Amino acid sequence: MAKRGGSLGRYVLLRILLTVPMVLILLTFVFVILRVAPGDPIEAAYGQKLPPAEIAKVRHNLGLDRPLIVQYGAYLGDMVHGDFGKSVVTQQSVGTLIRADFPATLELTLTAMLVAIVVGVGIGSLSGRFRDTPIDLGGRLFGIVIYAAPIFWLGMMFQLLFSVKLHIFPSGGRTAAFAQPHHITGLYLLDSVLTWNWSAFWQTLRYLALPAITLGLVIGGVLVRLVRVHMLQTLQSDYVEAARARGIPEWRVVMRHAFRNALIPVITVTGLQFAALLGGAVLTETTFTWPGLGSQLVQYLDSRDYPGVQGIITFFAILVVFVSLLIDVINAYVDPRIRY
Amino acid sequence: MIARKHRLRLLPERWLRPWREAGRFARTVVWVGAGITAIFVFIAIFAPFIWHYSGTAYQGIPKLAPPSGKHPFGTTSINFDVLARVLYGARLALEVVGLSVTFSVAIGLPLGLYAGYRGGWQDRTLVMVMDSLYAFPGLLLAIVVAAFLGRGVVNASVAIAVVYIPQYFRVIRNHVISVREEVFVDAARALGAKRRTIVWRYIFFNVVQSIPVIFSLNAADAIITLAALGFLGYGVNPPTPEWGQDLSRAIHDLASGVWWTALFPGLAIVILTTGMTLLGEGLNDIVNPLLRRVGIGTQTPAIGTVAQGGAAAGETQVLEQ
Repeated sequence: MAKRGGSLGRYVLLRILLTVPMVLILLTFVFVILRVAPGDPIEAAYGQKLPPAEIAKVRHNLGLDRPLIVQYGAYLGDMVHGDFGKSVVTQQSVGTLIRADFPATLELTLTAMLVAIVVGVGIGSLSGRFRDTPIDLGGRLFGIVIYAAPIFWLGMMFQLLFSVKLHIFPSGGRTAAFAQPHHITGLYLLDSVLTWNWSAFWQTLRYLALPAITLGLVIGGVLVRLVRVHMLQTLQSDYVEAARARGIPEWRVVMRHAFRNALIPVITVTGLQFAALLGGAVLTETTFTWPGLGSQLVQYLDSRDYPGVQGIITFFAILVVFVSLLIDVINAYVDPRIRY
Repeated sequence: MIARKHRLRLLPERWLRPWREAGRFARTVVWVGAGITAIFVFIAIFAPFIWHYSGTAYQGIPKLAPPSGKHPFGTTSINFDVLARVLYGARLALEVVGLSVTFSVAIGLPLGLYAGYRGGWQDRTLVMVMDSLYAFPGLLLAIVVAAFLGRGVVNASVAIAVVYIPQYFRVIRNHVISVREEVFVDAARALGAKRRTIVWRYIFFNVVQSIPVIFSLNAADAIITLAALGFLGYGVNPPTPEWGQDLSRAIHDLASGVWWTALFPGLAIVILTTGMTLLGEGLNDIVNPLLRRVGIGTQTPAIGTVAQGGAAAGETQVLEQ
């Protein structure tokens, strides 16, 4: 905090440099937990299924017979090249798998984020504007109760209501059979728009609706509280008072003066929520059999495929650090006071 | 000697004053939250006296029977009584929450005290490590640790504890840093008190009051994390009654329209978590006068995983002004 008013470029550079040890710590942690753990991954995955000679061969092929420190070095080296290792069970490259499955997770999380922002900002600012009224109480209760609901339970209740009872939305999967749009980005919504395939768009939306709303509501619950607090603070600030004093209509004060400023911290929290979003995505994908990275992670865990788990967790770790970097840079760009 | 007398007279007053000053709303919130939590504690302790089926009894119980007088919450596909599962699930949930929070306090508190008082590179390193852990999705962290440790009550508690250590560390460390500069600490230092005396006698008691607040917020969060671990198959060993595991089984019943196996364990989670959140939120409003002073009113920025980041950020902002 000593040096204020540094340039944006310097701040960004410093922030990127700070990212390096952070990634390193996370990678080390993942490695220590999954690799140094007693019981080695090959035994865990194959156990009694293969003769010892075969197991030794698999172990050698995956480089798991080398000293740990060498393995650690190789792991870090591979990461630099964007190589996320290999699954023990399927011998498949985790990197290939991430490329195939990540778009599904990305589509889910981005849509959920959209839902979260609409719900959070909508209810939060109403709650803040009409402080201590029934609207406020309702908004706050919504925030607390939705936060208390386990995401998978919420999803199950939605499935029960909208799929089993009302037959409005399908209860799982990514889209109807043979309805996938032509593969361009892997994001079905985007791909169907790019190829003008509206029936695929519609199908994707139907399958996406429940998981995205489930995940979005839970994240939105956290945003509600935050937006409300900032709305309250902003509405009490001097410049809002000044705007009112100038005779500007109340709705205009709220919308133009207060609302926009109350939103700045939301960017930060949206970024912070990204980690929660990934965790939530794992549960949502499991609940709705959504074929993304989260489901894949659970599969790896079930087959005790630790190198596979390590690959995906590492990818998530890098993603989280990258997003927090991005959010900080955006914040510094929007709000010059942050550049210390 | 003087400083000590002063502290003894001042401390209870300092701890009670916020409660007296708090508005009726904040107090109601605390009471409602404490009431709900107390009911669940009661259920956990007296489960065998409340309901005659045990959580793992299956003999003479029909399969997937809808709620009736004999089985008010219905029965599951493996002949368990859902009400019994829900009641005994409370027992396990509170057990794991208690254990995990104890573990994280036991590690986070000393580390926070050390880093905050010591400062220097030790502090920076610890902050770096804790921040990295904190940035990582809590649930994924718990999953990885649980996968490594295997299932079980203690293992699940450790897995959950790992998630909250950075939060205790963070709050305690930041608090220590602000208390460290107080006059009474300076005075103790000037009187030649040893570092250990200063930390444990003067700083510890001032800092420890923020623990109950984080405790109840984390406890709420821990219930959900435990359920999530159970749901993914990394909680406790079946057939131990655990809400998340029961829900993961209930998901297969949904397609045939069976709602009771899914609804009741989930409701139990929601109600208990809401209770603990209210308790934590209310305490936070009362104990954290910094937030009241800036006029945020009866609401803290956010709860759970973000809460500490939010609250900590709020504090520093206020301090800087």
